[in-house]
Amino acid sequence: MAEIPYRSKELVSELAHALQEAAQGLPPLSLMHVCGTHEHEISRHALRQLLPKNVKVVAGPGCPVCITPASAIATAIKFATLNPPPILCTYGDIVRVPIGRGSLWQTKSRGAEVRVIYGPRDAVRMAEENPDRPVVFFSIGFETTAAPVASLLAAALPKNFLIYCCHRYVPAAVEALAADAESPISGYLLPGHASVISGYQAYAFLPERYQKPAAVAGFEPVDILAGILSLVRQIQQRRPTVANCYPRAVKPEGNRQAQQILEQVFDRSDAAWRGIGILPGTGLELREPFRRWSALAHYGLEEEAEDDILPGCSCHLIMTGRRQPSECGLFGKACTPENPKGPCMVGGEGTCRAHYLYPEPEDV
Amino acid sequence: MCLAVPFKLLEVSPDHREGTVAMGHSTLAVGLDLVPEVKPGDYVLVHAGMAIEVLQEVEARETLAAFREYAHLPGLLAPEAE
Repeated sequence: MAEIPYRSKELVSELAHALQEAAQGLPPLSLMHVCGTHEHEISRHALRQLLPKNVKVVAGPGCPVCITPASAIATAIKFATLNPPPILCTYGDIVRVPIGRGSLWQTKSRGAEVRVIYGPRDAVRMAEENPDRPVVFFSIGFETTAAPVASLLAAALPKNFLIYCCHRYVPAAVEALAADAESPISGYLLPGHASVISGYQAYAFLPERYQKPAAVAGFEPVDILAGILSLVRQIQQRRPTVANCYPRAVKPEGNRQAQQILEQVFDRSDAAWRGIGILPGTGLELREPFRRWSALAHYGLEEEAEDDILPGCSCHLIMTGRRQPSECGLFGKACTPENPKGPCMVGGEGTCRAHYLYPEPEDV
Repeated sequence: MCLAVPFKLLEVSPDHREGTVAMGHSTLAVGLDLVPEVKPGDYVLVHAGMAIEVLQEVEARETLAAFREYAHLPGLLAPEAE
C-alpha cells in the first residue's frame, strides 16, 4: 500500500527534529489540545515519544461525550422511561456513559426503547418511519454536530419529531480556560474539525487578549507535529498568533452557511460541562420558533439533577489537563472500556480510553 | 460520535439537499445543506451524516510542501506572520 503523504516517516522525522531544535533552552511547556480525535491520534501514533523532554501535550475538554453533564443523561433516561414511552435515539457512545442511576444502555435492557443512530438525519428518518410514536432525539456535540442539526431544524420535519439538545460551542470554552489566570497552559492546539465551522479567526482572542499561541491542526501525524512546532516557535519567538496548519479544510472565516444556520436556530447561553461547571457562552439553546421541537417543552419537563462525578473517578481533572489517566486509581483496574466508571473511558474520543488502547510507558 | 471523514462526492440530488459519497467500495447518502457550492467530484468532509466542508485539493498539496520547508526554516505557518 502506498504511503499516505501526511504520514510520511521522512517528514515526521524532519518535523520532530525541528521541534527538538525549537524547544532547546525553553522552560517546561504545557500545550493543550481540545479535541478527542487529537488525543486518539496522538496516542495511536505514539507522537508524545517524539516530543522534546520539556514539551508536554495535555488533553483538554475536547470529547463531546465526556463533557455532556450527568444531568443531561439523567434527563434522557427520564424521556426513555415515560409512559407511554417515546423512541429515544442518540449516539452509540453516549448510551454507554455511566451516571449514578445507570446508563441509557441499562435503561434499554430494562425495556425502554433506546436506539443508536449515526447522525441527525437518521433521527428524522426514524420519526418518518414511526409516524404514530413520538421520537426524541438526544442531540449532543460541538458545533460540528450542532450545525447539521440546525440545518435539519430549519427545514421541514415530521410532526412526531422531538429534540433534546445539549450542544456546546468550543471557542467560548477555550476562552474560559485561557481566562483562568492560574492556568499552566502555554499554548493551544485548536480542533481541526470544530474550526471548519467556526473558522480560526474565532480564536483571535488567544493571542490578542491572553498573549497565548494557537495553531489549528488536522489529524494526521504530520498535521499534529506541524501544529505543535508552530506553537513552540511562537513561544520561542514571542510572537503569539493563530496559525492555520490545516488549510485544506479550515478557512479563516469558517463555513459561513453553517454559521448562519447555527445563528438562526440557536441562541448562546451559559452551560454546564461535566465535572467542570458552568462555562459562559458555551451553550446552544433553541430559539423561540424552534422550541416547537423541544422535547422538554412538549412533555413539560425540567432537566433532572444528577452528580457529575462518581466516587473515585478523576474524569473532571483529566478533562482539564490537571491529572493524567495513569494517576487515577480506577484507570485500567476498576475502569476499563468494557466496564467504564467515568465518561473518559467510554467513547472513541475519551482520553482514558485512548491511553488504555495505546498505552504510554507511564500508563502500564 | 465526533469523527469527520473525507469522502469523494459522486452524485448530487436535483434539490441539492442530498448527495452520494464513496470511499473505496462503500457508498453513503449524506446531507448537503451546509455546502451549497459543492459539485460531483469534489472531496467533502462528512460529520454525523452531513457534509460540513468542501476539501481543497490545491491546499492539500501545497500544505505538504509548506510543512517540508517549515521543518528547515523558522516560520510560524501563520498567514499574517510569514
